[in-house]
This record gives sequence, structure tokens and C-alpha cells, in this order.
Amino acid sequence: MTDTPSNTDPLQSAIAPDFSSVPTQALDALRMKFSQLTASLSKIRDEMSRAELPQWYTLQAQLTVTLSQLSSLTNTLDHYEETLDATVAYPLPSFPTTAHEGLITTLMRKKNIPEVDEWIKDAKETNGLDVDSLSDAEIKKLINKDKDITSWATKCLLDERAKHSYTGLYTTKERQTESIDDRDNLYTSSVSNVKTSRPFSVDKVLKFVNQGESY
Amino acid sequence: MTYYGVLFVEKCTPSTITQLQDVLSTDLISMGDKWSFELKTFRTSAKNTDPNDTKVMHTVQLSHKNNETVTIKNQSAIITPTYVTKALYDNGCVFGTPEPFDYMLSNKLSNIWTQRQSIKGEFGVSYQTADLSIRVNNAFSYSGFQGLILELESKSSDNLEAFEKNVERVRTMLSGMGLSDVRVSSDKSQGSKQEDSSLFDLAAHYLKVLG
Amino acid sequence: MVQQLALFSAIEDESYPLSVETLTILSSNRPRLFANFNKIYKPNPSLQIEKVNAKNQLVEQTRVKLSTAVPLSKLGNGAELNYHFMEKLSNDDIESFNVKSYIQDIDSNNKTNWAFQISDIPAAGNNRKLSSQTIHESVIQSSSGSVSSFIDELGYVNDFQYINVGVKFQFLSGVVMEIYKVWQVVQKDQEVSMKLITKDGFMIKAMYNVNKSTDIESLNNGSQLLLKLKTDLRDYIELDIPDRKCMDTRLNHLD
Repeated sequence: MTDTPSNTDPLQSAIAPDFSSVPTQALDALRMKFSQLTASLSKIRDEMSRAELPQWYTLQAQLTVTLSQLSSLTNTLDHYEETLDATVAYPLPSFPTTAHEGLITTLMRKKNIPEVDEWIKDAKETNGLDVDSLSDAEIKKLINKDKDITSWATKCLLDERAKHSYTGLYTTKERQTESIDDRDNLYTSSVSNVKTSRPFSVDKVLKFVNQGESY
Repeated sequence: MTYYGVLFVEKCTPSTITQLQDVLSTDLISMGDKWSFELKTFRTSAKNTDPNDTKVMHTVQLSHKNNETVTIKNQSAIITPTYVTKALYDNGCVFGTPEPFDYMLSNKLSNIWTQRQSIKGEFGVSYQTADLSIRVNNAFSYSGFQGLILELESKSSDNLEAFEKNVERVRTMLSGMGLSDVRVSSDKSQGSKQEDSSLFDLAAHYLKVLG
Repeated sequence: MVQQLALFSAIEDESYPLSVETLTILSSNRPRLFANFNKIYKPNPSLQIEKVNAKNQLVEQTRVKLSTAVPLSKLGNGAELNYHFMEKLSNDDIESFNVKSYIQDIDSNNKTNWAFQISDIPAAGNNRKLSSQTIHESVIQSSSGSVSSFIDELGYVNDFQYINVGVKFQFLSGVVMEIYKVWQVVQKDQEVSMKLITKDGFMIKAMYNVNKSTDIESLNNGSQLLLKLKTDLRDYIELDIPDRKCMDTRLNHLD
């Protein structure tokens, strides 16, 4: 760091601080991801607290967006891992520490709030793994195994889906065993040709009920 | 069985009703709701009707009888309520809220029937004494104050004799106030009456004293 | 007083079942059987009735309709009835219905409820999309003496009588559709006979009733609903505006 002041009075630093080594790219990318994710989570929270819940498909769409944003965020964190690991934040001498002591301690705190610690503890317990005692290689192996299971599950879903017919009037089995033309399979709404006819005159009947004309 | 009677006091003033309240106050148990009545008279404009025909039709509407309207001509009468019965509505006989019969006479049958007179009492008072329910009202027509109307309703446990005695007591009371020009019409026959037939009779009493 | 917006049509007997299915789906309600008996009265011809009223306004002589319900128990002679009952009614007589005894019962019962209606001729107009008619109604809850003697005192005499039997669909929007048959009822001497007017088919009526003729909003809403219904049923049942002269209940000068 090259911002050592030439005079000893920290409150009158005449040298402008050098921000060149601040990892702005990483921080900005993260800030953006975080703000997107926070917005999505707020939106879901607001929707869920309404008197009338939204339709399931609306919620599902929002959940999908939130999950993809979370995924994007974790990727970004992963991408900038080295940079961020080597980054340390500290206050400049010009920061009014006496006036804003509370603020500076909040900003500099690295310890999680108890709530967050609980979540992390819960996640680790649910996981069933003792992450601290595993080597990096072992952890990598576990992550890959997880990825494999996910791919397998996706494949199962796609396979099962392919076995069913979602449109048309016949089952896939029927389609294969009985030679049904694919064109017949589709249900399209058609115009009906059924018509009614009038066996008597409406006006004549109305004339009778209103004036009693003998029929 | 509830008996009814109607008294009409001519030759009094609109303030007689207040004097009456004072006289009744000694026997008064409670006061009831405000009530109103209207008696309309229609005359036929058709020529060559039967010479014996009265040519007159009346409608009587009483607020304390659900505002049902009784229409009377000679010995025939009908009651037209302000609501529709479900069977009539469900079977397509009626489409909406029905009108009282005088509406028909005035609006659709005015080539045959012409309204000649309307006697009505609004903001009438009702009293509950030990013997009777008494409803009093000032009766007005287009030409002004006509007189004082009293409607008497017996307790359902009374018999005809007891009712007749109570009617007499009211007449005596009116006499005591200096009111002797009193026309009376009240139930004369015993026997169980159905809801509607007692309304017919009551309307007939109004007609008798005001007609 | 009711403002009634309406469109009419007719179908042949064979189309009845499919029409009922169609309207059941369109209205989201099951068909309900209904039946009414109607007595039409006209001013007593022996009376000389003025052409104007006391205010010197022209008032035409008009017919009066009294109608009452025919209980389904009487119609079906105690049997449970549903909309299929209509499929058996293609003759002058209704087998399960003893019309003579029914009429005797209602005439002798002073507590029969009668609807008393006087209808105006539907509104005129070159660009009419619907029939719009004012119907004045009163309900006779009971009578002292017979209703017929009261009507006589009113200055009216018997003109003709008829019965409607059919099914009714109540749409959630307020529109009502009826598919029904009409029989004329003739009383001669002591005998009562019926004659089927709607031969080989059914009358169809789609209506919307508004309680106040000044309620423009409801009238507009009703118009839109009926016209939409007309479009929906197009090419299957053609709902039309009838000739308003056929819906005129006034006595013609020629009568």
C-alpha cells in the first residue's frame, strides 16, 4: 500500500488515497449479483405475505429465477475466489472513527450474526459431512459425485417424460401398436355442422299468446 | 283470534290527537311504531254499467300490515303484496318486484278507472293499553284535515264480547272528550279467521267509516 | 314494473336433447322444469270505455294476463319429473296432467297466487338489436270471493287461455333462457280441452329482466349479455328479434 502520509497528522492527510489495487471488477460483479438476488428474495417474501397467494406457476417462475441468480452469484464468487481471498478491507485515516464508531465496527465485522451461524451449522449437519476433517481432494470428489447424481436425476426425468404423450387422444402405446395416423392424434377444435330448424313461426306463436289469434 | 275495529271522529281538529294521548296516558303500557294508511277511491268512467253497480273501487294500504294493498269493489276484494312468491317467480309468471294494485288502476287502467279521492294518514302513533292496541292518525285528503282515525286491535286471547266492551270503552272515552260524532265499524262475528280474511275485514272497516 | 330485453327462436323436437346439453354447459346450471297456466282477459265489450283518461291522455284498451304456477306434482301425476319429461309431450294432451281438475282446483281456491300482468308493446326502432318491453306486474296473494268475480268488477272478461311447459336455464350473469311448448286451453260447456300450438318443436326465449326502466347501466349490461349469447349460439340456434306487432296486447279496433 502506498498511501503512507508524509505528515503525521492523520486528520489532515493531503495525499489522495490510491484505490488502484481495490478489486473493483470483482466487487462490482458481486454487488450486481447480490442486488439482483436480494430483489428476487424480497419479491418472493412480499408475494407470500399477501392475503391472496399468487398462482403456483407465478411462484415457480420466481423461484426458478431466484435459483438461477443464486447459481450465478456462487459462480461469480468462485471465479473471483483468489482475488477475494487476498482482499482485506480497512478504513482510511480520514474516516471519522470517533463520530461513527458503531458504523465502522459493523462494516469491519467478520464474525457472522448468530442466526447465520445457525444456518451454516444446520446445513453442515444435514449434509452429514465433517467438512473440516476432509482433504481438498476428498471434497472435490464429493462435489463431483453430487454433480453426477444431479445429471442422473435429470436424465431419469427426461426419459420418463419421453414415455408419455401429452397431446392428442391416444396413448403412446396405442400409437405404436395400432397404426394410428399422427394427424388423427391431434385434437383440433372444429366447427360443428349441426343445425336446428324452425318447425313453426315464432311470430305466429307470439301473436297467439298475446292476442289469442286462433291457430 | 284477533278482532279489529275502526273509529272515525269528524268534527275535531288536528290537535285532538294530542288530547287523546293525554287521556290515554293513564292506561298506557307502551308506545308502538309509527304507522300510516291510505284509502284511495276510484270511479269507473265506463258508460252503461249496471244501474245497480256502485261504480266505485277502493284500495286500502296499511303500513303495519306489510304495506299490502287491499282492493275492494262490492263484494270482491284482492290483496296485492309487495313481494313475490317463489312459485310464481320460478315458473316464469312474474319477472320482478310487483306493484300494489292502485298502481295498475292509475297507470294502466286509467281509461276505465279514475282516482277521485285519497284519504291518508301519515306519522300515526300506536299505543298499547291493558285491553287493546290502539293506532291513531290524523286523516287528510286533498281538501285538508278530515278527522281522527282510531284503529283498535284486540288481544288474541280476548273473545268477541270482551272486544266489544273495549270498543264501547273507547267510545265513552271519546265522548268524555266532547267527541260524539264518531263513526264505528268493528268485527261482529266470532270464529277462527285466517290471516288474509282478517285483513279483508279490516280494510272493509276503514271503508265503512271513511267512505 | 320490469323492463324485459328478449330474443326468440324455435327448434324442432329432435334438437331438444342437444340444445339442453348445450345450454346446460353455457349457463353452468341444470335445466329446471317449469309450468304456468295463463288466463288472458279483455275489457268487457258491453262496456263503453273512453278512449282518453281523466287527464285527456290517449289510453288504448289493453288485455290483462293472470298467470299461476302448475305444480309439477299435478303435471306429472305424482311422478318425479326431469327435463326428459318434455320429450314425451308432442300431442295435444299431456297424459299425466288432468287439466280439468287442475282448473277446478285453482278456481275454487281463493288463496291461489296469481300474477297480474299488463305488457306494453315492445319499443320501436329501426336499428333494434333486441326486443325491449315494459311489463307491469302485480301479485294477487288471495281474494275474498273469487278472483274471476273481482276481474269482472274490474271491467274485464275472459278472452283465451294457454299453458306453457318447459325448462328454464338461469345463467350466472342474470340471463334466463327458456325452451318450452305452448298449449291452448279451451273451456266449452263443462269440458276442457288442450291444443298444442308449438307443433313438432319448442319455442326458445332468452331474456334479461331489469327492475327499474331507468337503470341504464343494467339495461346496457343485459343487452351486451344477450347479444354475446346470440353470437355464441350462432349457426346452431339463431336468436332473433320478433315482430313487435305480434307482442302487442292491445285490443285492435277490428276486434
